[in-house]
Amino acid sequence: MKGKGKAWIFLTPMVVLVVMFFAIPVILTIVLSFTNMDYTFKWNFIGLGNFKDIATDFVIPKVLLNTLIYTFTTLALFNVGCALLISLLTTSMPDRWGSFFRTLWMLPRLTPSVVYGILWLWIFDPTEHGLVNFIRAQMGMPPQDWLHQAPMVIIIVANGFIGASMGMLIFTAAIKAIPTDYYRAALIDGASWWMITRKITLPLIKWQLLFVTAYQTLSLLTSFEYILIITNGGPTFRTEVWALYTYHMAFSNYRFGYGAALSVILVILGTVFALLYLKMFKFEDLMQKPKVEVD
Amino acid sequence: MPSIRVVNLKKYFGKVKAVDGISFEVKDGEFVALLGPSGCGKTTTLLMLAGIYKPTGGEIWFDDQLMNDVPPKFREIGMVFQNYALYPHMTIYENIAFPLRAKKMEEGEIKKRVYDVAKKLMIEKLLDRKPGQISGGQQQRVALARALIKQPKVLLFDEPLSNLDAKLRMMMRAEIKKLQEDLGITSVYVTHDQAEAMTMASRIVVFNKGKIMQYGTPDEVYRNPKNLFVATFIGNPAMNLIRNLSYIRKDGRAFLISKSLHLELPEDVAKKIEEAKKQEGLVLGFRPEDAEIVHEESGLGFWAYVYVLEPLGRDLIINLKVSETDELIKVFAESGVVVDKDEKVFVKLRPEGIHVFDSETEELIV
Repeated sequence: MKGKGKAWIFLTPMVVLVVMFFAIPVILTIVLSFTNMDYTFKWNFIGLGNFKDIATDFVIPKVLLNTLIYTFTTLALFNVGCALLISLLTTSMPDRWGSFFRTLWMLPRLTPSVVYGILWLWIFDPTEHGLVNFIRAQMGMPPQDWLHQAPMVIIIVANGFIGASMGMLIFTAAIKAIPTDYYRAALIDGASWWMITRKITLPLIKWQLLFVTAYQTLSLLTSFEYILIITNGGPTFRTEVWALYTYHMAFSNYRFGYGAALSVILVILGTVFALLYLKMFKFEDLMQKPKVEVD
Repeated sequence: MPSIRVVNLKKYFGKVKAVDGISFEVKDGEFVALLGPSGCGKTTTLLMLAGIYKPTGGEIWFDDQLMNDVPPKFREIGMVFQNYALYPHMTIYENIAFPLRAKKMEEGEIKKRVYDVAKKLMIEKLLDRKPGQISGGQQQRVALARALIKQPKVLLFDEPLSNLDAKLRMMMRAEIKKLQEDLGITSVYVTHDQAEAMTMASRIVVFNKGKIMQYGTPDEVYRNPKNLFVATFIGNPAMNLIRNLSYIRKDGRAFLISKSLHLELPEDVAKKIEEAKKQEGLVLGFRPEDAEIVHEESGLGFWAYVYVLEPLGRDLIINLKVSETDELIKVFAESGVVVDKDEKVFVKLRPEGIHVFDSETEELIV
């Protein structure tokens, strides 16, 4: 058999899988967003009807605001911020201790997500059986309904604690790949930890910072499983984010067409952020310039 | 500039004894090379001098100040690394200015100093480039500039020339030596290249397996190696060795003999062997230039046959064997010398070029 034919034989299984589980669902979702399909599963095309509804949906401004607050606070404080801080600190201490602390931060990842969500429910349980209220009771303070008082804070913390570990792994690997001699030279030259971090470490892990920021933005925009378990978007839309709203519309209210339209917008939103990052991080400048030899 | 004194210095990594109780001294303004094969502990020693590694034991003195617990930045040292350790995201200017910025020096002064040192090292045209855009030799100069800009009292070099091609290496060798002589900065230079150590340093510390094998001037370690390691490590080609020799005295004359060799010894050499009370397991050593190839027996020497010739242009290396099972012997000859392959010739030794080692202790007897 000729080379090309052979190549296709090897490619076909993967191509079939990609088409079946990636291309077709994407196309179906886009097509679906132009219908008002509901629990009757009828393909009634209504043109841009869903998108017009979204523009006038009174919940949407609240959902959009929630999404932005949730995504960027979690991103800044935990998925990038905390991850970077842990990486910088654990790579500055003896490796044995560094590994210990990083393993600690990895533990939530190893917990099944439902168990992890329920743990947070238990921590903030409004009765004295909850961890926080139990501690307060020991100090003679009355129990508080945390999930009602600060639901957004709780879902950000819950997501952040688990989300920081991925950035932490990538940043740690990147920092450890920086040649030791750079640090030795800087130490001999009398640079402080802060100067070394700012002038050497951070510029040299710029690629990884860009990647984690972009990747985690997209994953936070689309992730909702912990919110679903902990607050289910409540109380009254206070933690309803775009992805969860999409889920509720499609699978609680059975408005599949409307849900599809919402997810198409989410994809566009994600693409816009990704492009913004590329500009902001001056992506082109990170590429190696050609080597020029004069004299 | 300070003198450096290292006393019984040790560095263990777990069970590995990287540096195992070494002592040496570097005089004020002196250029000393730490020479040895890879993994011998020379770089570890340098990093202890720099303050990057903390010694497991022993002392490091700069003049009369004990440095063991002094952090690197207070040691007033400049260091040049094997791969230069230039920050790839900074321009050459920023790379050279880095040590001054760490000192929070005023911008005007930084600029003046960077231009001064760049001019001295002929890299002033490269200041706005990045390290990836200049050649290896230029990177080497930038690394030197960064080490010098602080006006250090001690310069440490960690195999700075090993990433350069042979021609550039020879050139930079001379330049670094001249620079060090001009500035008079006490310098310690780590290398595995004995030619570098011989040509640049005023004294050489020869290392092996975390210990000092010999410390002396290039001439001393070359002419009078204290043990088999130094004898074979220094010199290119290395010292010739003929092993498994026994010492005997017959009719008042002294000989070193093996199955295939019979060498009469001068009386002073024989006396020293007798003083050492060694009869068996002796090793004869002589440098390739301390022998001469002649066609008839004359004076001190032995018979061998020509194995192969290596012409070098100006010189010729004649490779010989005493017998089929013996090690190769290399002897320098002028290129006019005529010998044939397999010809039996007499290897005439210069009496003062003869060394005898004890194969057990590997130490020099004569």
